[in-house]
Amino acid sequence: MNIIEVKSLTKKFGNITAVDNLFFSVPEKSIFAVIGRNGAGKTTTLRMMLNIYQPDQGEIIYHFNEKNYNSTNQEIYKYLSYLPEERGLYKKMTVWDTIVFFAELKQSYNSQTKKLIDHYLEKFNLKDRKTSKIQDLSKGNQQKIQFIATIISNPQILFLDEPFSGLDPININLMKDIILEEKQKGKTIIYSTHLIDFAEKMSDEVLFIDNGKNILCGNVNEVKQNFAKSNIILNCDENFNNLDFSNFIDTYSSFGKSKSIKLKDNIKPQDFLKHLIDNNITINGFTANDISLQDIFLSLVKNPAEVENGL
Amino acid sequence: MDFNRILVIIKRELKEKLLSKAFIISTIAFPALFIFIGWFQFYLNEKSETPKKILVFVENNQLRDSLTNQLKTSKYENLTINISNNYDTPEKIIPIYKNSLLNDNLTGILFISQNSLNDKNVNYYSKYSNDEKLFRTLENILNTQFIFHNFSHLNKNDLNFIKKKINFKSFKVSYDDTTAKDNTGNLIVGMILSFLLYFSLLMTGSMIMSSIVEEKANRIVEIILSSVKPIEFLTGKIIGNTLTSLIQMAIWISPIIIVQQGLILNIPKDIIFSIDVFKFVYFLLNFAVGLITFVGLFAAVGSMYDNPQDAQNGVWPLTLLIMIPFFIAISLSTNPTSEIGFITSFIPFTSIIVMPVRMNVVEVPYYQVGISFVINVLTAIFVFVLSAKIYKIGIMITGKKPSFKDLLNWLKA
Repeated sequence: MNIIEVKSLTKKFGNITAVDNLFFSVPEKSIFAVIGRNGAGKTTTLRMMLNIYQPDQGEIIYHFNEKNYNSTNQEIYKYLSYLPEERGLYKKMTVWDTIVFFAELKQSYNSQTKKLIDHYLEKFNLKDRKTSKIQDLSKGNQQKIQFIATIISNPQILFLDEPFSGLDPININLMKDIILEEKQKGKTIIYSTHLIDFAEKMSDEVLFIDNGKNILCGNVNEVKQNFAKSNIILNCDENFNNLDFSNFIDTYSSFGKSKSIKLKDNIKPQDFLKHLIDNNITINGFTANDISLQDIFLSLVKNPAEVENGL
Repeated sequence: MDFNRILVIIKRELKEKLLSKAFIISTIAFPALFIFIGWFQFYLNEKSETPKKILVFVENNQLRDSLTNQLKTSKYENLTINISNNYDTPEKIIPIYKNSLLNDNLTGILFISQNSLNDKNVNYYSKYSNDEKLFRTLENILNTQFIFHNFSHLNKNDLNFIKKKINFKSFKVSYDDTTAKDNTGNLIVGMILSFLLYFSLLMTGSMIMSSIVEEKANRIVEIILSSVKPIEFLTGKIIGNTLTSLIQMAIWISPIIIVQQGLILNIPKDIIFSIDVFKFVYFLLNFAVGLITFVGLFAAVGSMYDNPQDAQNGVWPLTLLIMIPFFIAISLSTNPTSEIGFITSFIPFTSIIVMPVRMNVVEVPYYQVGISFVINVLTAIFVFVLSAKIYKIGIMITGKKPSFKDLLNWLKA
């Protein structure tokens, strides 16, 4: 069942159309990734869903407890929580006061909240910083506090705009674990990211936005399946530039050792594998009919030069 | 609007502002600074004065004797007056004493010629030829002697009567059928209130403006606006800041009440502070309405900019809107019945500052105070609606300074 339905969503800033007739739906209890390059309209879309921006056109319908709510309905505030891309907190407030303030703002502060704050502070290794002022924390720790402030109100839907940006690998992992934990609790998580690899592993659903338009939306596995036919993911040391594969390969993208290869329509994966062996290429890995979200995204998104030339 | 959410914002604003160092320092430091400036001025005028030594040459022997006698019986602080036993013209005397005058061994030389008794012109020679305070002291001494000399046929009582200045005892006729002895106390209270109002509006306005600019710049407003409506957030901020300022005003005003009640300080009998309960309640209510109005305007300006410099540049019309009525209010002390004072006590924005002062210096009918207050309340409501419209859109616009056209579009939206 879908928890959100977005219909014909459009937002213009002067002559620029930031979001252009967007349609999509978000299944309940899913992790929903919004992917797009800088300025594609991801943040504007999230802000409209949160009623921070008013759309010029279209509507956003929420389904909570078998009731429908428009995004302008104040009732939805208590179900939603938001972590913006550019982090900001009141610098002179203490860690404890900050989290309590956000809980009170969502009117979710109760006898259990104190325990919950302690639980999260311990989890993020910040228990001894309760009385510290925000300005005395490192940037990474400030982000953790902001994340705790986002989830403390126990919202139904978490909106996270670039939740991993600025975090070190250990904290990225910690953040990922907590997001998955929230999903286990039955929450819906909508987040934007540039880390497509991460999104591929973590998300159930994906939305690609480019120039404010929906260029692809759906279940991650289904999307991959649709794009994976005749696609090979090959891991080898060889540089393809020195070899002639023009009879086999339609397009390919290389990440050094890992290469994503789209075979020509008449070529079977086993024919290509045989060709590699015949050419004495040392193969470290070979996966047929697989494709990464990154490759799908890159194949769908025109490069800026093409866009400018109207291609 | 959800009042519970507004309450959370008010609570945070109060906690942040009341416990901030800036609030504590300004609340204590402002009156302390006020007292210090007063004391310093007094010190400069009175205490820091260097001893002055004056030599007087008097041509008329009788006047010289009576002047010498008067100086024997009177003492003047930091002033020594010596009367020379002989007399000569300045042309002859000054070259002799020139070095003493230039080396400050002698402050000045006064020549009282025979003609002085007719035209009251005396000549004074000094390195510091414009010492008004000294002239006032000498004038009192000399005038007494001149009068005694010229009217020596009159008795002492008549002479004292001639010397006496006319003392105006003014009585204020009020609409409430009472005629009370008027005094300078009203004026002093009016001026103090006007200055406190002026200072408070500027300070609270600047505080809310910079806090909104900060919230906008560091994007915390995005999180807050995903939980509350912009109008709720703005209302919470305006009420929070207004309450903070009212508390500060109460702290500042309490010494005035204590002085008025005569609990401390023995103030001169002819200075009676006559702030009555009606005026006091009116002042506080008017102050609250004024704060809501100006804090709302400052908030709207703050929401338009995302850095403090641009906000400071954009706020000058508001500063003028506070400064102009303040100067009009000050002018009422010398011209209490001025037409500008009357008119501006009914004009939106200016009436907030002008009316409280005007009603302290002249008798203003209750209905006029009522009209002014209604105008102020309507202005506050209008400003609130206007500010909410600007805030709602402005707070989410970053990266460019809004033009006047943008502003009009926001208001139409």
